[in-house]
Amino acid sequence: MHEFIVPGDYIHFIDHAIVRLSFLFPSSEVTREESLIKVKYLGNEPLDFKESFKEELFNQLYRERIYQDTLPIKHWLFSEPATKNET
Amino acid sequence: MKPNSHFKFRKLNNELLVSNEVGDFNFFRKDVVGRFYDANLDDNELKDFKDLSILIDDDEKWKYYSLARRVEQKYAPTKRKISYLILIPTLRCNLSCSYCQVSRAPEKAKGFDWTPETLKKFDHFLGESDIEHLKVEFQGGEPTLRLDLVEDIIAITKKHSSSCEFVICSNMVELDPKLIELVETENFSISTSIDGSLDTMTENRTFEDNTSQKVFDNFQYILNRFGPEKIAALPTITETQINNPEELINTYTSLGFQSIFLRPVNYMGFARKQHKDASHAIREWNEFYVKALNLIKERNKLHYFEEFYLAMLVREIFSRSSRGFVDYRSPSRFLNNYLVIDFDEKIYPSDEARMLSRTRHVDLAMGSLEEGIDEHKAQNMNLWAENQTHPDCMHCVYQPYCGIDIVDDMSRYDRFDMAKNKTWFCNRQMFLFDFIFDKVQRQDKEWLDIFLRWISRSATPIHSYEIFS
Repeated sequence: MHEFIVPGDYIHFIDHAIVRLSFLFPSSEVTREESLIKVKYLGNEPLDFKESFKEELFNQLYRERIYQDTLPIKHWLFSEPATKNET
Repeated sequence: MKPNSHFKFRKLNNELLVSNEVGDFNFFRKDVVGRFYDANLDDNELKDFKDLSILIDDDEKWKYYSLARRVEQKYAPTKRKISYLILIPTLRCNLSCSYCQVSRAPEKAKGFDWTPETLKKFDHFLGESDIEHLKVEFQGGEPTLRLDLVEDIIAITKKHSSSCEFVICSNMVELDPKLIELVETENFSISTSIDGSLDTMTENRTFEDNTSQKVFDNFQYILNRFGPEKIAALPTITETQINNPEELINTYTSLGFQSIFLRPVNYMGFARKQHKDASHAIREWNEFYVKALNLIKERNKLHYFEEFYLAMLVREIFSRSSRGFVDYRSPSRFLNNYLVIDFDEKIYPSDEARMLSRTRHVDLAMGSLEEGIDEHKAQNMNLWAENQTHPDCMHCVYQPYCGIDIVDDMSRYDRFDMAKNKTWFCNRQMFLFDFIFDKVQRQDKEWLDIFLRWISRSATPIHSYEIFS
């Protein structure tokens, strides 16, 4: 079992990150307790598991935060193009 | 001190390269960011940050509008208007190249060609589409195996577009008289694959010298009879050529080319097995590329010669020319102006997407001639194919000039949400941008002269070095 503390600014994004992490690490069980993430590898744990899980955990938390922060820009980029009169 | 608009930076040599939202840039002392936030800039630095609109005075509000307008011009959504079509009239081929990316069908196989019904649907599809100038590229398989279909498609296209051009991608093993008739017509040209010397062609593509020689003879015939505007060539670079860029460059210059696209073998199709190491070896690729660029630098002392991809980046950075290359755009806006129609009528956003689907890696078909474009699937893919809000790219100093290639990411890593700095695409792009900006930072006149040539597409450009500062 490995435990990771998520910084306060990223707690809001934990649940989304866990969904993705559960896909990326199907042989592990990922749970949370407030700002604590616990991961247990089911079976013989590979040597680099803790390191690669940590890397993906923080990458996914960060991605999720940036995704939500930048959604208005995304919406604009993929909105219906303005007509000439509107620009 | 707080910035008034977003900026990005990267240490390069002993300075800090800073770029703004739209790609204006300058070099600063390497500790400038700390001093920026401590409000400890000298007068010159203050002026330079204001020139980049990173700092905007209260009486210069117009700078916000100017920036916003440039952002809009660069990234604003546009309506779909088809300007480039890749068509696969047949998947059958008379070669079996080691790196074939589309799992081509055998020459005598049945059921791999467009049918009369497909032509009718294509006619209808064009009739329903918004088209202006249209370029049609015939891919394969080997499209010259069905020149009758090529002629039919040309007739249909001309019915719907008064301004169109056609290029057929042929291996040039055979030179059908009908192909020569087509080359004689206006706006029709050939693109072929030349990977280097006869030996390299035999190893990569034909597996026998006689066939390789036929390719060179046919190429030379078209070149001599119709001139260089009627035939172009592309290499695919595998481990066969990677240690010998000189042979490749010599082949292209001896054939009279002024341009070469140093294109690494994709990690797709047969190449996934046959060239697995070459398609992953980014360090070896970059070493090869620098050697090749040094040779290209020497060639430019004699005559105009460009490397297509680097020249495209240079134009993007310094002359703001628009990017047509579909693997190098952001937002990619798949299916907005460019699409691929396969032999089985399925529509793909790019040829690489077709390759991944053909090998059953991931299904990136986005509709068909029968059903039209699958807007929902296209929108879902498009949402992730932009670097403007990408969590890694948005902090990168090169983001305003860079693209994104999620199809390549899917091909290599089965996903496109891994950290960008671990991907082939990002490593290649960073290397190229560092190469360009290193020359600018050092004011390397030899290379800046070459960049000026490429920007103006002229062997004798005006020496306006101020565009680099």
